[in-house]
Amino acid sequence: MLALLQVLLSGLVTGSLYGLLALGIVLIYRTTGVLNFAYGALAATVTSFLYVLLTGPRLPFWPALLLSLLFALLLGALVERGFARPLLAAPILTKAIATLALALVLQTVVQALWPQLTSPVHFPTPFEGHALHFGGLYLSLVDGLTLLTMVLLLIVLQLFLLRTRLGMAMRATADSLEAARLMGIPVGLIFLLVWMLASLLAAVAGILIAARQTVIDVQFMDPVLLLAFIGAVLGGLDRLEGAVLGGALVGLAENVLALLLAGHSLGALDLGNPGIREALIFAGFVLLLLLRPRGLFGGAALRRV
Amino acid sequence: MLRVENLRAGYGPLEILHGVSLEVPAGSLVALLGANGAGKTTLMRAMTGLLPAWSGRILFAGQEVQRASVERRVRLGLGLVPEGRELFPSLSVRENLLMGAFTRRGRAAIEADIERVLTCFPRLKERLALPAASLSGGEGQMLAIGRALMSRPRLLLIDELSQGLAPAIVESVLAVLVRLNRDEGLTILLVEQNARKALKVASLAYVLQSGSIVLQGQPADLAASPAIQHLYLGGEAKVEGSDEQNLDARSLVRGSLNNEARGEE
Repeated sequence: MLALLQVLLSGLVTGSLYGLLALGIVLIYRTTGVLNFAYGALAATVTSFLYVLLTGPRLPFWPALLLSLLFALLLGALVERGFARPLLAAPILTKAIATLALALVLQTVVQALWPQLTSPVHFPTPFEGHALHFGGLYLSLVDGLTLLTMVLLLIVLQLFLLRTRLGMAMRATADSLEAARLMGIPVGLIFLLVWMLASLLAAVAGILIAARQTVIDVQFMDPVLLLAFIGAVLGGLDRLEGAVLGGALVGLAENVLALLLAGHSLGALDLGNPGIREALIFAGFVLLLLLRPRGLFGGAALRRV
Repeated sequence: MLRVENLRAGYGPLEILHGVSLEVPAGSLVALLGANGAGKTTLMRAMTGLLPAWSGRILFAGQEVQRASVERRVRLGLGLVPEGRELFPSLSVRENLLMGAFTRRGRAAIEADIERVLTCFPRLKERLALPAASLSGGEGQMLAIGRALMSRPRLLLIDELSQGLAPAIVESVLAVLVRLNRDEGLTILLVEQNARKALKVASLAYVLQSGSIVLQGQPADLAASPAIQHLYLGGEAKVEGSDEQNLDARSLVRGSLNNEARGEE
């Protein structure tokens, strides 16, 4: 029983990280029609930036974190103006494929600037080695911070989107670009803000994941992004709540599968192997999509022209 | 209020408007008639700036606006109720109205205008907190008009008011528009396929055909003209015209019958 609770707790932590990434993916997709496969690379670029600040000039953690989050906002703005804006009218598939190119560009630039990140390096944080205990349950400090950050971010984001004029304008732009223009909403500014916000979410997720893993390289977000995408699609791709729930579901499934499969083998095949786990998640995902093509929580048909 | 001079516009290489000129005097209610594909919606989009004008001039409130952004034209007092309504489906009715006031400041005045819209369209009152996607066709059109009114426009452009609505609903929405025009001096350009209803309330009318204004004048004169009777009102009057025109007339009559029959709820 305790083992199961422990697994569910870890599942919740991984799930909230996937959910956070899925949230950014859906936010960008809904407002600008970009299926952003460069989202992981964005997160990795900011995390690498933080790594360099921590190890190069040896800045203290919190100021370095603050600088990195500012860098994330700047990077989001740059990518919107230099990449997404010129492609605004392009077909959705063109945009999606262009993001693959963007991911490569970002990774190449990071490698060129900071070659040490080509191979795995230790990502130092003040949280490493600290843990919280609740009864028999164990929660590392990073995991606790992850859950706390996630809850706070969701509350702030929800208040922003529901209560502020700007947040409302973002949702309106996502609903109908043309009508938003007719209301006199500066949609260009909205696109810029959406990318900056999404880039910030990616940075937070990337840094938390790096702090959990304690080891990063330039591609450390790639496997994570794939699972986050599954979460986003499970959530229906068009709803923010769906994205968070979809991400959480993937995280839980991953951890529960790990518990169930550990120590078992099928012939010579070790079922505890993480590769088996991922294969099972993908298989389940495909099966679910066959049964519910719009995702678990998706309401409206997927359309974006 | 609004003067369009020799306006040309289109999509890609395709020119839709071949030099349209028309005038909407301040305080008037002008009807713009035309069959499907005549270029009515293209004209509306060019006037609001959603579609760039290729050449020609658009004078609004004393300024040349053919190069101005949509936002600028909204701030000058141009409001559009677009074809197909284009509501924000996931936003509540109230949020839709608030977005209509996006260019304005001053909470109290905005709240007062929401009340004003609800007085015009009381049916929206009990729907305020519901998403716009849940509205019926008539309520949706009321919200689209209300949302456009929230920017305090001096000129309201309405594209296809009666599209997909039951006749009774069209009557009641038209009555509200006529009252706004008469009592509050709101200038209105009403684009309609349903010529009979539009001509009844308008003080001036234009007919757009294949991207050009082919007729203009007093609604009574237009309504009496045999060509209009035949083409847009489905009247019995005999007109000399090509077979093509007659075919047009037949499909038009069928179209408007469908509109009437489809109803709303």
